[in-house]
Amino acid sequence: MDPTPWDDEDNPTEDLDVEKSEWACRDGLIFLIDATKPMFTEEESGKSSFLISLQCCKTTMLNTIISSDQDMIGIILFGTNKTSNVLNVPHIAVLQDLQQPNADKIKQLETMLKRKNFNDFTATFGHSDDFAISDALWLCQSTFSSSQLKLNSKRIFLFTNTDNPHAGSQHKEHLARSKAADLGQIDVDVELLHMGNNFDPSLFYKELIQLVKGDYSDDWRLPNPSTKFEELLARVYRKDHKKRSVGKILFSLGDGVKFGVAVYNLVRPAYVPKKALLDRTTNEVVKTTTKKFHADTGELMLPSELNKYQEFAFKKIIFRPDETRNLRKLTEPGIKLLGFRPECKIKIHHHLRPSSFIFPEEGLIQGSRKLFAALLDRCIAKKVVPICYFTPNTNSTPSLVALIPQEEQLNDSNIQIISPGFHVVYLPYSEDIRALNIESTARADAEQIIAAKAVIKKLKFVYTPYSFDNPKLQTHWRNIEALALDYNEQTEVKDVTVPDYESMARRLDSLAQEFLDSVYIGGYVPGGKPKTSGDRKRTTDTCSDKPRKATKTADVGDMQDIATCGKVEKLKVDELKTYLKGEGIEVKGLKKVELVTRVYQHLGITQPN
Amino acid sequence: MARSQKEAIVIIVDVGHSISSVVKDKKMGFLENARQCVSMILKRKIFANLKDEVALILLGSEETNNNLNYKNISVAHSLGLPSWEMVQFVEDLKETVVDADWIDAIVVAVDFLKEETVGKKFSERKVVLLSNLDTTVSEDQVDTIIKAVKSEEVNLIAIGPDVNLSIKQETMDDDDGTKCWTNGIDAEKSKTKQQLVGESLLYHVLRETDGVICSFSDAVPQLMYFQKRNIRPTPWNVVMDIGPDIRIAVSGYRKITPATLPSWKTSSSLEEGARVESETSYIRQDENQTVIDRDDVIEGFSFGTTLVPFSDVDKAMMSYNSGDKCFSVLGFTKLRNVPRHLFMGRGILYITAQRGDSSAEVALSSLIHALDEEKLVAIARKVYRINTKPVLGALFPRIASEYECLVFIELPYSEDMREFVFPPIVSDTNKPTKEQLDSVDALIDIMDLQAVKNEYGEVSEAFKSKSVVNPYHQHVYHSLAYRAMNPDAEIPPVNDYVINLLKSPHENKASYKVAVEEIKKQFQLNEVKSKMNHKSAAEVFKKNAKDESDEAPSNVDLKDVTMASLVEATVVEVGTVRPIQDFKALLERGEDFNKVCSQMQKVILNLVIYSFGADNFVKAEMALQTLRETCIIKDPSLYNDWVVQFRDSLFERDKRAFWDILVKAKLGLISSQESAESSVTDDDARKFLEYEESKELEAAFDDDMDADDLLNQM
Repeated sequence: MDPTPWDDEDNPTEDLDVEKSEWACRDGLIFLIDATKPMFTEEESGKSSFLISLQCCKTTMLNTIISSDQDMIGIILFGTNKTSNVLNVPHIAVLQDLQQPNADKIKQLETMLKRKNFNDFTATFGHSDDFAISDALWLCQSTFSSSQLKLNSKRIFLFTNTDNPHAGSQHKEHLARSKAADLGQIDVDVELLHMGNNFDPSLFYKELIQLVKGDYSDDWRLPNPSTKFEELLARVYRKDHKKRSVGKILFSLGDGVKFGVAVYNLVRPAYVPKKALLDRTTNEVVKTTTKKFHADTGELMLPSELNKYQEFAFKKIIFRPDETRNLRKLTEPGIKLLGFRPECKIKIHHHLRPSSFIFPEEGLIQGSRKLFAALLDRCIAKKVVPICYFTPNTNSTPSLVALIPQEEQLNDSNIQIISPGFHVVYLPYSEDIRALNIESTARADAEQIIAAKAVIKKLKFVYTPYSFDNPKLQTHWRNIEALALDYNEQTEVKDVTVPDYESMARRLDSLAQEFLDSVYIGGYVPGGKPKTSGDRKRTTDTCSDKPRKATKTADVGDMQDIATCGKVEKLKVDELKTYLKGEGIEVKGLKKVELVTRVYQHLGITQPN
Repeated sequence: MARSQKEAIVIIVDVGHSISSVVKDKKMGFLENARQCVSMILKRKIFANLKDEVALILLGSEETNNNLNYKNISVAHSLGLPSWEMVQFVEDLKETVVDADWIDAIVVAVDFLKEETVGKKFSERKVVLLSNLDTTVSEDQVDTIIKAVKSEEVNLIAIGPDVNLSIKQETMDDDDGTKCWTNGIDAEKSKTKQQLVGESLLYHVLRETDGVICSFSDAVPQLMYFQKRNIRPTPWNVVMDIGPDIRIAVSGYRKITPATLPSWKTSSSLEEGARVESETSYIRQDENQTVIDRDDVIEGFSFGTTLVPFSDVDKAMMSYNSGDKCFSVLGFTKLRNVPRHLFMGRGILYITAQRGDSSAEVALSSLIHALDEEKLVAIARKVYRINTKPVLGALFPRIASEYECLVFIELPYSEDMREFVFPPIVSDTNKPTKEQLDSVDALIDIMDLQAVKNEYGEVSEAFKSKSVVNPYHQHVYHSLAYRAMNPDAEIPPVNDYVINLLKSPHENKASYKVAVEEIKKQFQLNEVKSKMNHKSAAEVFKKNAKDESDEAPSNVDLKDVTMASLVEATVVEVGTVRPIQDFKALLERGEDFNKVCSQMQKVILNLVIYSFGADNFVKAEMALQTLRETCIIKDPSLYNDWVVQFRDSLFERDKRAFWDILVKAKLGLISSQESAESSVTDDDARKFLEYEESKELEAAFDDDMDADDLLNQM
């Protein structure tokens, strides 16, 4: 059985050259929430400020789990009567330690949010005005610095509705200000999320935040928190990609002239997160190891005892493992210029793999930026593209690429909408292009083309990739969330890839029928059996008339017979897999013995020994 | 596979003595060329895994061995799948002292083909003649042979010494062109009269039989590259819809798809022919490292740090279902809304009307032309078969002279997009000057690939996808062929043909060198070396990008490092170059002990794991010792917790040798005797070091795992 050339399943098997894991940098975020009495007063919306703060925590955690699950989140309350923190800072309680979020933490918040009131909370934590903002900030700072894991950024979201907490204590105000300046020094950022209509930041908080940010200009204003709340409360089911190059390499023009570039992937498939394998009894992660055995003696084979081979013309051609690796070392990592081609000569249909993007990298060679800029400028002006060999890293082999220049574009408010640089577009090698013997015999006439134009013009829209969410991913994330948080109901995901027939029909109106009348003769059913009248000559096709190969063991009846005779073992792995897949049974990673067992199990027939 | 695609080929190689009488000043003798050609033909067939059968006939052999008993012609290999023995036989061919009639050889070959292919089905039958034609021929046979070749429908191909194209043309066109073709070309001059007669005869035969002639200079470069076997296109048949009413029966064919090399299999290096099986075991991460059954393993996903088991029932209930196979147009958009860099997926599909359905052909044609004229593309949803993932893609019109089709290319979902913002490249201070821009212009003009002159003065387009072969694949095939023929020899360096593939056609031109020199002059390009004070060279020119996460300046943000500190080479973290000094310096400066420890641990691990042989082991051992001593004083748990993981890593990465060193130097757990703060008993500490035996199985870690696999594990 031939491997189907149509295998559309995810198979990221071969060289993932440029798909290097982009190791996430962790961000640390602490929600510092005011827990004094005013926070629990219900606003007109029927919600107290404290409730809104907790809601923000919850959505942020949910979003973080999907977007960047390495990030750490903590919740610290100030103005409680109870003191509960490692440093014993008075009137401050740590609700949740700075850690990666998980289901329990979210459930804890949900439980708090579900309660009608916060009486329980008051009973446990109480309220007190005898706190100091400086203490709260100090605890946050200490929490960040005692984190075992390296944090890329450290942020504090401060929620409060009291605009002048230390009115009457200049000392406390002074302490808070000097702590704020400290935080600014060590790159801890503080965002103020103030609530209440009459909140006057100028009384205390404006200066505090300015000190953190080190921006003392007179016209500095605290941003309006309402948009921030919207952001914090919006659910995002999307992985957040931190900007990180997948490699820094040299671009060689030849004869020793080189400059540095950093390679980025701006578009790559987002996969359903990797599965973890769990022990059924404990739900704990299990480790897997693959060991090699001598098939006959069952003896364990050490890596040094293994060779690699390929078989051709009945001969095993044997390579040592290091030799097979060395084969890959054909070219040094880098980009090697071969020449230039007019941009219009790069054919749309010569697409092989998702592209990458390069940007000058001064860190390797000083002056790279300028040469890069000149090359970009001239390529755009002359409408040419550099053709190069591209070897992203030592383990990759050279790819033929075209560098499509992209000019920087700014919008009206001078904000970049298109980045300057070159897109690295992979071109196919002759081996990648298949010979197809296709020939068109019947072509449309002018009238038919006009009818088609009428149709397509009615269905025009502005495509952007952002308008299409991946329904499979979205479903997955929502399901995992529902399972983790014991939700009873699944949220329905709208599949935006499904055509909206109703609106299409409305927009087309009679045009669809007019088009059909123009191209089809009455009684023709698309996809029905084509008539084989004499005027349709097919000269190129030699194999289309051949009867379709009947798939062996395709139906259950056959397999039933085979299994009753106990002869399932005699089938080939492919056949077993096809059968099991057809029956909706997972076959990935199973070995033949296991496959055979599955077949017997599935049919309820005892497996002969 | 398609049985009809099988060929039968008879190769006739001239080994007669006349081949050596050809002028000696030619770089390569005829036989050497012929050997190379035939050997490559055979190897190509072998690697393409074709079912073609090949026979070999020697012309001018000392012995006579053929059914017709023509003198000095022998069938060396009868029709069969090409083998390495056959390649070896060809490469060992030696000249003889006899000559034979090449026309006789063709007669023998045709007769042989006829006999040998009785009862077998071949799509095509070929006779390939490699001869310099410098033998006496019996012209009286010519008509018979032409008749025989025609009636047997045999394709005749002659590969021979360089033939001037114009003369060839002339002779082929000229009806009675026999001897009028010595017009002063050097190559022709060197030919004997006998050859000229032979050539004219050959042309006659080839013309009559629709045969092909090819000189060595044409044949060798073409034959030197291995080809991928053609895969019979399999259509994906579907009815495409545009809204609820418009439906067109179409087929999708893979037109471009990344070619792959055959995969390596594993064998034993100790025992030839022993089969090696691999088995995956699932191990509970407890003290006993219990192995559990595959059936007791379930799948789960992580939700933050929570693991969510996902049972088969959940899967069935909750998985996204894309529904039936479909190909639905969602709408149309301007061509410029779908820029090239958004393209996803690997390769493309051609969408054509289903074969034999001319109504569909007309409908599709109207759509293709409408899109082309309006500069629009269709956006469509594709579900390959029931419940496979839905793929979003664009349909571009393609109108070629022979066919029309839509080109389907995958597009990204919103989740696939990464929005990075880059700073402007050009600022007021670093604008390139006019001279600088001109120097780049000059380079662009000189390095044009559209019209490149080759060594024969022919102008063609260089690096055309259709004709450029994958240098890596070629390298692998050449190496495989070499090893097949020389099982005990080391793999030779990269073959010249492959090296040539990697070169720009402009590389040796003087004008190019001048242009590059000018760029060098115009731009200040200085390699940055200063950072190496902080990181080893290997880290800057990263050996493996995967190390980046571990080794990039991690604990101190570079922007925090002032210029002064750069110059002073202040230690910012423990590096692999002087780990002990770094470690001590950082502690003296009062850096957080936890942090410095974890850096040191990382460095030790890296030193060992990426050590070539045992090169770094001494350094790692010293570092380990320092770390342990410090931890005894400061915090034994930091060492004890880590060293357990470290041990696992050593076994996993097959670095048992270092484990032995560790055991010998007694660098195991810190016991309560060594430090009062330790909770580890003496007994436990001893047991820790005795670990080896019980863990033997663990040591087998697939050494050949690709870096990519390693990455996945990290």
